[in-house]
Amino acid sequence: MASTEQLIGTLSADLAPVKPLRGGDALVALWWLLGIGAVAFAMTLMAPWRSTALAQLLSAPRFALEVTSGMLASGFVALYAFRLALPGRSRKGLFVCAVAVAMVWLSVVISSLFWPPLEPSTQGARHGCYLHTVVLAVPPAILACWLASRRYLLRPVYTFACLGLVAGMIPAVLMQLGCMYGPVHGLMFHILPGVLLMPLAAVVAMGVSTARRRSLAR
Amino acid sequence: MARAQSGDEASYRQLLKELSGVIYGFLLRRIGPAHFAEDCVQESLVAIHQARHTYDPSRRFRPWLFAIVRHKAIDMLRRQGSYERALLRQREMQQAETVGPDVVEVDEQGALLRSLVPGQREAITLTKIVGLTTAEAAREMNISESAVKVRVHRGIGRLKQLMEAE
Repeated sequence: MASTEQLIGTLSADLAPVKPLRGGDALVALWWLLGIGAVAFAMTLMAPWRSTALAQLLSAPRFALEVTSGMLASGFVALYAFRLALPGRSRKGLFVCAVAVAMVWLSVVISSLFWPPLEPSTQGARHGCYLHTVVLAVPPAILACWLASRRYLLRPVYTFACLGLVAGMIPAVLMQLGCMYGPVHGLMFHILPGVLLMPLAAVVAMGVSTARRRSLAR
Repeated sequence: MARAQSGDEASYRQLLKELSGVIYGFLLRRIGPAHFAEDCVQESLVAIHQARHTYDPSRRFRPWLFAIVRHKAIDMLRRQGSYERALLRQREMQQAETVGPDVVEVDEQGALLRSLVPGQREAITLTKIVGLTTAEAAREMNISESAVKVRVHRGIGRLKQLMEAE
């Protein structure tokens, strides 16, 4: 490696001005809201939503809690994941919030297996809902990973995994409203495929990191 | 840094010069006189350059800087293992005369290293600072190679926790 003096000379030569990143959380909120909107729109194009979903949300508090906590958890994880790509920014509070809300969501989902908040039914069933969940999660995941890469990834694998999780959670939670309601069906065909995006994104990050390291070594 | 973000080359050069000393001192205090400290300083400077747009001038500079430096230091420590193995393979391929590593008297001024349990500290010192291979460190410590790897792995994990907690 060249001497530090030379390196400093190279880095400071022809220095291009950069725009400091401010208001990063607003961009995350925008991505999250756009992601929810786009996924909901795509779901509408693919198949009609379960007609009783809205009434069930209003009449069954535990079901409403499941949907709300799932969405909130995805929002907190999104904020946390994007903060991971900002060096030195505090994120402990966000981590605690994300874990707490995700635990509430998971506990409601798991308790629903034993005490369903709604009567399980096949009304509104979508053929291939598990595939829809995965496919709908991919575009927000790619956009999120691209946005995070424009910051500075200190921990690319962990950051991408978190972003994959968020992108997967959005269609997974919405699918609870758009597809048939059944606790086991929801867990197996909506939530698990959504969570699958987490390891997928981590594998992509590993591949990108390895490729980048090799290109730097050349 | 704010001036560097606006493209002021002279200020940026001055900043990087000052930071190289600060980073070297930081590494010396935390990890000790590792043979890769100079490389780590340079990698940190490159990372600072790449991440300069993520610094918000309305926030403090030090947390931003040391988040990058800590990350680079841990990354270098992790990579040292594979680097040493690659070096050993290269030496074997060239059929060079096998010479034992120089006995380096390691000045244990690394405050973080001192906070590790003795087994982990010794394993990291021998493999990452003195530059022994895992096999050589295992012979030196009179334990198995797997045990060395486990101690190094746990030690680096602990170092990372300590650095993040700072």
